[in-house]
Amino acid sequence: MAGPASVGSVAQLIWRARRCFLNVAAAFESSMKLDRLLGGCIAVILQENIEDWLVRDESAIGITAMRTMEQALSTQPKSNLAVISVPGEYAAREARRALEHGLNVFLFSDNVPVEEEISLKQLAEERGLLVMGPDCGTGIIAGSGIGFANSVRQGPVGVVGPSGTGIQEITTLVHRAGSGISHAIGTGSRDLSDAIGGLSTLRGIDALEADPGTTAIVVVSKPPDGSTYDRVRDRISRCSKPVVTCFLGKPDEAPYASPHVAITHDLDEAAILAVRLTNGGKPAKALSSAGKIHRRAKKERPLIGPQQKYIRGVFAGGTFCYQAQQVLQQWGLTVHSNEPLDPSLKLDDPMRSTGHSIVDMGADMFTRGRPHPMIDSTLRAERIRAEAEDPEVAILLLDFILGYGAGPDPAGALVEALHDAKRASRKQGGNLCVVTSLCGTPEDPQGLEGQATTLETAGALVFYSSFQAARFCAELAVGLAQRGA
Amino acid sequence: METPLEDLLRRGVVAINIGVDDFAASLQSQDVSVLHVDWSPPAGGDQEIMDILDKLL
Repeated sequence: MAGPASVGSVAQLIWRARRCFLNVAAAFESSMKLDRLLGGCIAVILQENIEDWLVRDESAIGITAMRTMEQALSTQPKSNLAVISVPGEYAAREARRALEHGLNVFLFSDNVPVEEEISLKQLAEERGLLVMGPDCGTGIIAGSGIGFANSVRQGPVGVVGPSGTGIQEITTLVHRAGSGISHAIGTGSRDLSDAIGGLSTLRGIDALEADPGTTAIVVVSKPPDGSTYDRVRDRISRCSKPVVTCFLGKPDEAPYASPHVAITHDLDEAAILAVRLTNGGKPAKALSSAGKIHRRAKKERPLIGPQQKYIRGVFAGGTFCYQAQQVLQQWGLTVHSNEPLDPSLKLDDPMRSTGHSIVDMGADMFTRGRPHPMIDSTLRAERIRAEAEDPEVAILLLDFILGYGAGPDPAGALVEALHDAKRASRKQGGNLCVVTSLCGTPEDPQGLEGQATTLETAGALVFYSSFQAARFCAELAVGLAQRGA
Repeated sequence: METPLEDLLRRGVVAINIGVDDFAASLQSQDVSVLHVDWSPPAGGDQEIMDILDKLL
């Protein structure tokens, strides 16, 4: 409801109007477009001042809605984080204003120019702040999930890196192994490129090293660019706390001189090792064993038709897509993708799979002007149906990501598509094996067990880790290939 | 002296959400203090005017 403006705020309004007028006069002398300028000034003064202090209402979600960042700051002066998800062309402007007001920034928006990203991160560093993003999907700060994040208990493991779903998987695996997370700091998809130089990842490592609640640090990413990797590696080597590295797709990482650093190659290994490092070396609660996966694959093999041989992955999580390719490649399979490990295996047409294919439906081309597949399953459902039309497809591999920010029922949203896919396969004399991984915790808003039941009822096999689901698919596909041999 | 980042990690999140209101709702569901800014493009999205105003104000 509207309320009276304070004497101080009115004085500030007059002072700003005067300053604006003087600037306009100066601009007029330099023959700028006075009419548009005056219109703009009036619009801003009205927007940033009159509404700022006089108007406040309830948003559609029942939270007090402010007109401007400044109004929000004067109402809640202890604010310490701006969560920004405006369209990319405006995102840097809002992020800069937030930093200038002393706020850390979680920048969900993508399509922010590289030079703007560098400038924001440098400004943050000068002011003792952190920019998570741009294109940052996840964060957990002191138990609070930001963006896409899962409900995990607080504990001694800190996680940092540009890999959003990688962070989600590690934090949920740590939680399910009985430990917890101090903070998980997403740094934005480009942070470990040489263009950005790891500015936020390095700040995140500094912060976790200094944080008294963090005992061990996991750094998770796809392979960083060359000189940025060297810089991050050097920082990790000097860290006074144990560090677990998980640079997916970088099997050649040389051992570190520091005994505090452990190298891992998949998200499961990283999570389990981090738990072990923080619980006095006791074995963490085991995930599914290799033997169990082998037995499940062996049991499934005879159910699949003789003409069926290929894996088709339809993923929401970019890191899961990457890790799955890595696993399949390790098993000797050639895998195509719109986001391939090897550029020569890039799908000619991302809309059409070939051979073994794993598609990242969260990639830019699928999300332009549309919600991310973690929120809206429409495009994934279409792709699942399309894959099942290919009689050579044996295995459909899917990831389901639960937590804050994700859709209310990710499994339920694809059940109909799964039934259609299985039906299409049967019509062609096949038997489609649907393999799913669930990233989440029992405490997530969607409920882990309920989601698993939904998928199992639809005839899918459920794994509680993306790595294990991929490994199962690899073992099954290799077994299928050997049938005729 | 504590930096604003150290303050964030020690004290936890007190947020201002600018953009998609679902993010504010999910923070609120976790009992995080959050205010939502009902954002719209400044100067009606006119980049030229925005640039001028950023210099003036």
